Amino acid sequence: MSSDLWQPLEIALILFASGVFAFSSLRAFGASRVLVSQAHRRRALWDLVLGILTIPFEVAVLVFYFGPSGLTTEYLLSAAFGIAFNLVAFFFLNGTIMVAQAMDFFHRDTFRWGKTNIIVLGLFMVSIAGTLFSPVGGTLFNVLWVGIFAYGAIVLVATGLRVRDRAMRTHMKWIGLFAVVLSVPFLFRGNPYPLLLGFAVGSLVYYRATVSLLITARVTQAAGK
Amino acid sequence: MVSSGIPALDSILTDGFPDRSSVLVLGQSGIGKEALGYWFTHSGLLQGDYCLYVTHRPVNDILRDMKAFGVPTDRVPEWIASAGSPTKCDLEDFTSISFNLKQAVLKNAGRRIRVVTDVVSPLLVLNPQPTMYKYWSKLLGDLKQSDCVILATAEEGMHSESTIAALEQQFDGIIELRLQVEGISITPLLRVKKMLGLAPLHGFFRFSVSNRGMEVAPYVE
Repeated sequence: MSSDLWQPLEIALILFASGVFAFSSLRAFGASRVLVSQAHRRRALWDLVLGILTIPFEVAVLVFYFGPSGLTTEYLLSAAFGIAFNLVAFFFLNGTIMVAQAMDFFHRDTFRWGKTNIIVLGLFMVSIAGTLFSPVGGTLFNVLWVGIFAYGAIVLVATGLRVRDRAMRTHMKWIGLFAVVLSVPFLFRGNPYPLLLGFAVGSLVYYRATVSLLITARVTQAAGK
Repeated sequence: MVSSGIPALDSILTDGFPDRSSVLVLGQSGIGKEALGYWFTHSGLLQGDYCLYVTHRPVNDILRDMKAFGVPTDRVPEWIASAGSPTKCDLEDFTSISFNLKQAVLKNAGRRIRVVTDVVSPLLVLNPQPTMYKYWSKLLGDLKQSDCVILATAEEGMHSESTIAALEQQFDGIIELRLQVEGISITPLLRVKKMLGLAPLHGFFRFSVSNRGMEVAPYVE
């Protein structure tokens, strides 16, 4: 790994994002214990898993793009983890959209996502393979990868707007924003700062998404309010 | 009095819900409001009461939830549901919901009747509020002519504060479920905000829902 990657500012950004993702996961774990409906509990558990996985993914991305080039063990491991994380993230996004559709009183299939998600998944796999392994056109595949995440985010937000439950609707919006914030910096993958900033801002957005599952209140016995 | 099906809640309510009353369970989605309905229904079925479950969800979903919450499903209530029941619950036709409900209650006049419903929030969201207030006022009044206890659930996150306040006036009892953040832990709390025939109860209780049932215990800050 190149030593110039680990400058103080970069380390600070990595630590900040990792801390917020870890705390978000803790909140998600708490939510999964108190929310009893299957839809909500599963959302919280998915939040927990994705929050935890995003921390090593951040490191893997930096190693992949800015570490030693060539087929080193570090390169291959980070690529393998990147693929696994991407698949988890896609299924997370897909699952969230399906929950949003189920919570819509009229179960509307926004942008026909329910029928086209297999095609989108196929394109997504192609975009990952192209970004990682294509000797030419890697950038094009990268744009396709970002585009798919952005499209998923749009579908999610549009579906979420049809959900009348405030907690779930807010959750959908923040998760949609998270998908955009985390994916768009990959368009500037030659420079680590957009990626690091993307992860830092993404961690805050993710925290907001996680806590939005819970409508909490401060109650006191004396006041009874 | 009519047992809620949860002994700890019955003792808070001094023996359960009042006869011929309507009770609204308020709380955010996913917190476990339905569990109160499941145990209330189950308790009624054990005592030989006529139980009717009116839901905007399919019957299979409710049965799966009941099993997950540890509620036996060897006896089931009669259903008015969006799917899987002979009588359909169509959210776009609220008059048919009240008609079917009243018909079922009329057919079982002379028995004690328990009605559980989760359609309050969807109907309020999909229809003009004044219409819905009149609708619920009339329907609850008509049902209470029989020996009927109604337990309804409403999603707090779907309505404004003024809507919730107006809704609370329609019901004889209000049970509120909330989440309290204490440091890094989150505590689910229950409060009986009002109940017909009971002095106001201001205290909160901890509750938990699991596949072993629902537990309610005093909450110490």
